[in-house]
Amino acid sequence: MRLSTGGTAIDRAKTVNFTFDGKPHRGFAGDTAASALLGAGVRVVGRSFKYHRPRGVWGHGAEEPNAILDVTLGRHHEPNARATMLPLAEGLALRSVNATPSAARDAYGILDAFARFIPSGFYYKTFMWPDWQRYEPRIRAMAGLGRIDEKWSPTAFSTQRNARCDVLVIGAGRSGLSAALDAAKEGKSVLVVDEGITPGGTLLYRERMVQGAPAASWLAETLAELSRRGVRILSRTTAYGIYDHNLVCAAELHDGASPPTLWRIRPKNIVLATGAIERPLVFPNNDRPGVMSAASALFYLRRHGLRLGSRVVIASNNDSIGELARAYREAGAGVTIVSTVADVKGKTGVEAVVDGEGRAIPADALFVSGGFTPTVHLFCQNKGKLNWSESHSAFLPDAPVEGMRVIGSAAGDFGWKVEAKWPSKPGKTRAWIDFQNDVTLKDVALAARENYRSVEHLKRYTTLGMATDQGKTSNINGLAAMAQLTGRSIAETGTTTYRPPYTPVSMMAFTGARHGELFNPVRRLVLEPEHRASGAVFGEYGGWLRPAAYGRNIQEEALRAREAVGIFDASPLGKIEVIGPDAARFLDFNCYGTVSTLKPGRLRYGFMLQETGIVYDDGVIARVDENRFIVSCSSSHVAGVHLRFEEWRQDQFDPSRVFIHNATPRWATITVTGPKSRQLLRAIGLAVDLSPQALPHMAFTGCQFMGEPARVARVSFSGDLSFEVSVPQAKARALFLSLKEAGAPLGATLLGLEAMMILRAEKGYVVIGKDTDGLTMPHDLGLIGPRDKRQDEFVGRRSLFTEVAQDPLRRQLVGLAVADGGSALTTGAHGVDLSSGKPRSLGYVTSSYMSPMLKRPVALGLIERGLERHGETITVQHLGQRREARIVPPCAFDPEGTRLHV
Amino acid sequence: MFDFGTKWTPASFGLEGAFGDDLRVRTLSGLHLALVSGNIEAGLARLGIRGSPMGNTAIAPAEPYALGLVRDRCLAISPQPLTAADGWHAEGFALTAMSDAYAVLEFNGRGLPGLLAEATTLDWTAPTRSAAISFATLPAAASFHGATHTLRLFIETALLPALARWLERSSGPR
Repeated sequence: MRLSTGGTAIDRAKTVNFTFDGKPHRGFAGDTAASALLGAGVRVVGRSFKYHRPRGVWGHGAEEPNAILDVTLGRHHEPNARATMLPLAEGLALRSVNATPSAARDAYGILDAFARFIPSGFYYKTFMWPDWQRYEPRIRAMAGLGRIDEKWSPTAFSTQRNARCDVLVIGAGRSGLSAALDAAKEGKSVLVVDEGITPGGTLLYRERMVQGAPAASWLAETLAELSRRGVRILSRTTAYGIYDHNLVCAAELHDGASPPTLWRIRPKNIVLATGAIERPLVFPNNDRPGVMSAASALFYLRRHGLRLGSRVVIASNNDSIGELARAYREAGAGVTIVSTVADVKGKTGVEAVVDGEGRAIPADALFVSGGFTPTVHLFCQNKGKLNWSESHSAFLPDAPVEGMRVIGSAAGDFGWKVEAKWPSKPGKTRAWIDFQNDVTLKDVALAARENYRSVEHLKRYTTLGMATDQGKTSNINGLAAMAQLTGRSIAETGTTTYRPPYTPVSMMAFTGARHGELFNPVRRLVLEPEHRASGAVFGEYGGWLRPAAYGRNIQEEALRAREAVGIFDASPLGKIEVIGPDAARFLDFNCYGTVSTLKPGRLRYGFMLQETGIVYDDGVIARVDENRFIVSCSSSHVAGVHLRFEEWRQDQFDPSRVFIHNATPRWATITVTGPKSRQLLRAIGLAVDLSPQALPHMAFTGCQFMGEPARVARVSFSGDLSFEVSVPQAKARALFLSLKEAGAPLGATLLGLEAMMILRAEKGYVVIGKDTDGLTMPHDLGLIGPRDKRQDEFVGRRSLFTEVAQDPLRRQLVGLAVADGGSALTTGAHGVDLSSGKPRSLGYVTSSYMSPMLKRPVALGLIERGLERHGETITVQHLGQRREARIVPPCAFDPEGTRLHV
Repeated sequence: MFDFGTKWTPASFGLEGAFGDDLRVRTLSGLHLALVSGNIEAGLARLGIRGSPMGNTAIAPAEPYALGLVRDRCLAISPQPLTAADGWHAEGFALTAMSDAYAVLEFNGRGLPGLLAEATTLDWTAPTRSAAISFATLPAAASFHGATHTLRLFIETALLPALARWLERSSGPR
């Protein structure tokens, strides 16, 4: 019941409405969901994971194993929130987990009656025949806590922030605040993170004197002093993980529907003042609603004005409960203190407590304290080792780790004398060790009998400590029981490995800004507004958003480019400059073909290989002068080629004689292609002699465009007369609009990437990564000259002479022609060998289109022994359908190249 | 054919205005940029730039100046057209004009530390040799300019729309 007075956390003047399992309730401002439920008289807040046992609030902090709720607040939704950490808010809708339809009346509660048939590991043994997969879907559907609202989508996303400080104090109890103040007085920058709603830790509810002052006044003065000294305290912020170089990650929760903030903190020193967690005692039916941590009972009384029973029994193995007994007596409750508990009567609440002598003590609440477990998770994540302390009945930090100091209760300085009696032989009635995952003492005994005696095996066999609370209240009792059952000491038995996160962290915190358009942002063409205005349909190609087509008639685009002229935005093409006295030698080493023989003003097409000899990229290299080249690699490989060049430059060459500059972002490149392309460029008044004599195929020249430097390269990816015009980005719009305007009377078309793909496929020009795969070597594409003739070393050379490289059954580039009058072959369809009766793949179709010029399908493929099989007909299979295709040379259109050399 | 253009907010390449409570951003124009590699001292001297390339946390003076990118490469920034030609120079440096390659943004205001804490992992109080940085997950170069409440950011023009989206998303209270 809520007392008429008291409760330092709540504001009784402000009532807050909320619902639990659909029923309306009221609490006060300052309540948590847990305190509000307790104040509203709700005892059963959830059902246990396996047996669907009714469960009540156990604790008041991050360790809470029972009060796990699905939360809705307006449009915000969060599954599996800990009620103890959740501030009450107007309109909060709470729903119990693992309960149908409600925690109070759960249809699956009947499962508890069959508990003896479903101990730990029962499904490993039971669901083996005929096979596990038959049972798995149903079991998985029943398992798990909480429900995701599939209709929910976040209205805001988490912020991620980085911080640095001299000292990071984790925990804002007495020890943490004292350490923070000491550090601040030394002039250090200090940040304090604390998972509590209000800083203070146990000072908020225990009557203590600190440095000669009452706890409350010391706390107020210390917080004021810290504030004056510029120390920031992040409340509701859980440091959940420590990573390399003492990087501490913390999740800061906010009120209402605001998503958490993820902090990445890089302190010079860490002070761990994370306190200790009170353990349950292990006795029969110790999981009944109304059985609560003694410290939490005091917390709810002092902070929230909640007296959780009028006839309470307190059981403990330590001397921490005196204050609780006094406080409850002062609050008008009858208090009985017992040393052992033999049983708890009552199903949905405590009705009586049976003590060690068999006396049934009428009671409506049982508060227990089974000792204290220092919160050393972050110390252990930081490679700290623990030592078992008999005097503390707890694992304590051993040798300090660099940059971290553990203080206060986390170091065992909790001041209570604990005389633990560890659970050993299980009795007839089940006694719970892990409340959340329904692991009992019988389960631990079963694991011991079946020789799962290592704590790691115990954990995995019984699921002890594997629930969302990660065993904060159960692990020590579990391993102590295992120690007792196996005749070992607790130190010998040891602990499981501590790993992040310390508490569950919302996935939203990790996502941060990385969603929607910021998940993997594409690069944007400076001409995008013009493309949109021209009706472009866009596609994502190699990390760029580029026009796939203008309108929907791709065939028409390709046809008009062949018949007149197409205007194509080729800006993403790489422009990586290689500069220096060793630039030519450097490119010789990096390329399959020799580059150093290229004359200034000329272009050369070629490949770059991986060290495995596999084709990495292709492109055109321009030689500007003796010491400067521009490598026009494919759009999607710019970053990779840049990186590769830089690596070889630093590893293999004198890095003072060759340099790599990625000038790609500087230039916008527009390709004009088609028989009227020269006419179009002349029409816009480009001051360049475009005659075949002055600018032959695979030549380039510099010029000016609107007073800025520009380049015109005669190079073609369509097989037609083509020019690439590169201008600084700022002049791209002017160039594009002038080409559009001048092109109109010539019948010019804007050309999207899809139409360009048709044009190049008609010519048999490959796209690396599409017409090649992770096995393709240059000789598979018919390019054998450099392999056979070059004497110097180049990347991938040695791999071209291996047994695998020389395999006669290699898949090689071919054209594929179909004569059945049907549509284009399906890209990805397999050529199959049916000679053995069973289809065997010969390779597959890599590119396939209907050719608007040829009025028939054209296709490229990688087919086994393809180069020597021209003229042969093979079967092509896709989704069970088979067609005949003839292997032909890759070039299907203008094989003489007459359209190119005009 | 799915139009991916509907998936992305139409790009614009200017950034101007207020983000959050105390942060303004504007796009600067008219600066001339160049990559200089190799003998940086000689290269910068040729461009009339005194001093060494600066790192993130240095406070850049009025132009011209240079930002360090890697050990032997920097970005020269000048208000005047660059006088040296592209290519290899006998003094031992390579130069490539990069005007237009980068959008130059200037952030100013009391909200700057909050922005930096969100966009970068750098300790902005410690000296660095390089001005290259991952800013809002995007590759960029940045340094203070004139004072520590003004930051200049050089980001590839093609990535400016992504940065704009990120800033819009992060414009809430810090």
